[in-house]
Amino acid sequence: MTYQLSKKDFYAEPLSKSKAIPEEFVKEAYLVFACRHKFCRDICPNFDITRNEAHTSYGFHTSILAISRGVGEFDKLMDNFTYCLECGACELRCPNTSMGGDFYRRSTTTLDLVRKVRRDHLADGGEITDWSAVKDYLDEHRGLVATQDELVTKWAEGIKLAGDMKTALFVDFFTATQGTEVPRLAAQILGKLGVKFGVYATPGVTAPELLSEDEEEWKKYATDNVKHFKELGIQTLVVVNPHDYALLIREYPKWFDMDGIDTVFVTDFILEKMREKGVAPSVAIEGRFAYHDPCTLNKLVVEADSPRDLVAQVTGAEIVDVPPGNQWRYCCGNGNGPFRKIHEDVAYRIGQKRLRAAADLGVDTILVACPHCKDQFTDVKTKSGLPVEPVHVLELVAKSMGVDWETTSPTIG
Amino acid sequence: MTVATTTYGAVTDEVIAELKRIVGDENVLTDLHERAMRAFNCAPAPLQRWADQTPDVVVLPGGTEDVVDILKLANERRIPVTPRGGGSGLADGAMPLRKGICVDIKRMNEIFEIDEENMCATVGTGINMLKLNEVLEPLGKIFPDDLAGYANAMLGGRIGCGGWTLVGGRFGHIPDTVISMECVLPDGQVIWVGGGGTKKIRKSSSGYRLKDLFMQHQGTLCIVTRAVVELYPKSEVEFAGYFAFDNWEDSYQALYDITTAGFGTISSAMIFDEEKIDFLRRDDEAFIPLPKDVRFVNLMTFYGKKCEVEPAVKEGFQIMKARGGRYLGPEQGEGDWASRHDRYHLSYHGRTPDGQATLMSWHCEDTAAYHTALPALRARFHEICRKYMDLYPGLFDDWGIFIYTSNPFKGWGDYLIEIDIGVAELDLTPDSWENGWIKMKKEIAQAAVDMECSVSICHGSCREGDDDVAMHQEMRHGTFDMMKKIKRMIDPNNIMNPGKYCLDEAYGD
Amino acid sequence: MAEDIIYKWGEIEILPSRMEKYIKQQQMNEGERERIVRARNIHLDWYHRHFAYEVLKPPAGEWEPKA
Repeated sequence: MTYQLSKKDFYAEPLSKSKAIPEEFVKEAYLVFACRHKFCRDICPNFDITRNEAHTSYGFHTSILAISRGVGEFDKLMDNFTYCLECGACELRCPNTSMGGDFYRRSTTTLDLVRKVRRDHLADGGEITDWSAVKDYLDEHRGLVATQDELVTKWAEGIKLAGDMKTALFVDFFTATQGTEVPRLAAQILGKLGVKFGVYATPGVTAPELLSEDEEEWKKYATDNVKHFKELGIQTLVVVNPHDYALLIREYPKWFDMDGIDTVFVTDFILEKMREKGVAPSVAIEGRFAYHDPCTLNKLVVEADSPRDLVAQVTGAEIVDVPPGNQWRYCCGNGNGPFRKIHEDVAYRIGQKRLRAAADLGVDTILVACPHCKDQFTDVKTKSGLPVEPVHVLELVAKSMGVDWETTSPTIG
Repeated sequence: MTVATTTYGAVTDEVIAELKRIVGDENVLTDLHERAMRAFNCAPAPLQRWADQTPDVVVLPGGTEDVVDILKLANERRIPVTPRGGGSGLADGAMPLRKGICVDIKRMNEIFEIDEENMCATVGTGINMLKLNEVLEPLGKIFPDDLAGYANAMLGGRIGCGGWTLVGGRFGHIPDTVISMECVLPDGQVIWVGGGGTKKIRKSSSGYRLKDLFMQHQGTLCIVTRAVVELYPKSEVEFAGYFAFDNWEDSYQALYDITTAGFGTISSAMIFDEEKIDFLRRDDEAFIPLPKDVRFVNLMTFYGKKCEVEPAVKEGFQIMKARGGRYLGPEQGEGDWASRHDRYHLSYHGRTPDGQATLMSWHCEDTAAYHTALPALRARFHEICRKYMDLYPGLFDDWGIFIYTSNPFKGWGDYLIEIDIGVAELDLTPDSWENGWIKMKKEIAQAAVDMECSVSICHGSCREGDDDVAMHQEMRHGTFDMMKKIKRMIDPNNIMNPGKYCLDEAYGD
Repeated sequence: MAEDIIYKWGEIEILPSRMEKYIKQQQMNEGERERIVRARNIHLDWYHRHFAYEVLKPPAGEWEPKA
């Protein structure tokens, strides 16, 4: 699907407490400061809870500008810079993006800024409060690399996978360990559709948290991936985790030539195959469902509608939630980076607010298209007692296709 | 007359400890970057004075009781207090001139009550209007406060500047749509002010109408913590019609004709002048191309029930066409009107004399004018802007003029005439700030006052450059003297947003 | 337009030579531009719906759609 390239070359220059803010960065910070209307603020799911405007795109950019004017110090910003979900809502709402980013080919890139500032600070010998939880997570994933080919296919036990690597399922470490039902259901659905595919066995560490710690290390894994994709002759890469999909679509083009590799999100692929083969889910499932647009699709990539479109294929299933544009203000609370690991309480409150909004719709199920959202909402449901069960859209579709599977969700059908 | 210099108390560790006791540790912000980002609001800022205007501490109160305790403490210790809502005002109301305590009201965003039967809601003033309307939407209701900062401004700041809205001709402005409000005075006293003495009654003849006193005070008299606001039924339909004119005279006359026609559902009428059209052509045409013969554009907008709006729009077309107006089509009406809040804040609109896109901040000089003053003011504003563009090449840019209807519930009467000026803030020096920017603002304000118009229609006139002209000339009919008396009576220690509106003069002699 | 522009694939953009001195362009491909356009259109549609249930069309006979 559509690769997106958005890269500012001057981001290569490191920021440091011992150096002045470079001129291009002063302008970069000013571009958001100058708007000042802070549309980025009330759209931010994190600001919605903390009510601290330092925790917004305006806040991040302004603090950099202030340092350039002698007010503030680079190494004192970092705890503030952890208060970014990296969901992308602020980028979309900033007039610099939305009202002219395409005309000027210059837009607001808060995600890139926040990640860069964190890693430059760490490289500068600085510390970030509670970063140890992030480091532990990344170390855990680093530790999985040695046995990754076994790990990323373990979920497929009992499922017959037949196919070469022209079409390959991309399963990341999180999904392989915490969200195994997603690739399992994807495989079973594709199997039912008669699609042959393999599983890409060496994804390496793909967690977006790594981009906030060490970009060079992240690039090392990515370089290996692109090399292996080409060596294996992968033409279609079907990604089950939208966090990884967003990375492949948005970050990889910054560094690599992705020609010849079509990276597609799993629901897009399933929908495409259904249409190609003239197959639709046949078992009706009557129900009203909330649907949570994952930030990594809804706010970060062009093709974001397929999960909703896939649910629309299920007779009787009705999504009663607000449309995608209204969901820019939502996040499950996990974030697209280290947020939940550092700000567990705020993450919970963000998720609670979202789940409560679903409960207010009078439903008992919230459909999700992201294993991180499912994980977070499961946690929030348990702690809050809100009677809304998170269910992955593939669970609904699989049930409607008569796929033989086990579900832990009591509420479908 | 001398202006006494108030001796202020310092924000000591002890004061900070007391503030933490009042609002909780996590709601007292002392880190420099937290404070620094609350030094400015939306208007071009004296970046060279950033440190001077950074508050000493930021507190985020959770409710009225917190504000009471904060103000009592500040009053007792004579510490300046600057209330801060969205920080998106354009008159520096939220800019701390004397440092001290920044009272950031954003945590006070609770919706206390939605009274559908009596069509009002009681809310904390830290609420953003868009967020309030997201809650009201399923109920088919709306709080119709439609301003450039709709997505980010807070009700407290709107009250502080006596906010104006793009659809005020239909729904009223903030002084009309806020029914009553809870005010915490500097000594900690809490009063509730409205039309009379009640919270939900709009029109009363009981007692003094104190709501008006505590409206648009820019935080110099109190901190407003809660308010009861009007709810309207969400409109069935909207219509925004853009008409091109090839000359000023017809555009100007069409404005008069449409606003005095007597429509009940008209919500605004506007003129984009020639310079504004040229400015918008820099990038706006990326979305909606405008033919070259379009020199002025008039806009008429209607909101309400379809059975009323539809015939009104039909007649509106005839009025515009009778003056030579050419309808620009529904794409303009739909795209442009929907982007009304966002489009002007693009930071790349600026152009240097050699045509390079450059970083400029948008500044809007807003003036309240009556209809017959508009042509002369328009000419004068452009003349002033061009003078300073010549004196300081590359620092300022003429982004054209808007003229909007500005009276509540009707089309005619006052107009907002604003000249939008691009300011290359990063490149301003102390000299170009004082002798360019401030002097330009003063001349613009003077032009308004010379024509018996008001320096500000919506932002407030407490900015450097405006305040002197506004207070000493516009308010010369005894109004400024009365303001000083009231200020001194309510705030004897001059802690509430000191330095604004020249009110330091209240403490002289 | 008041300025020279590039017109490509139905989209208009600034002449890159205007972005050489003070603000520089970033690397941006058509995919990213498409995301921005999608987001803008979602936002504008939402804004209309937010303030009124329906956007009225112009009166009959007052506007001919483009061929």
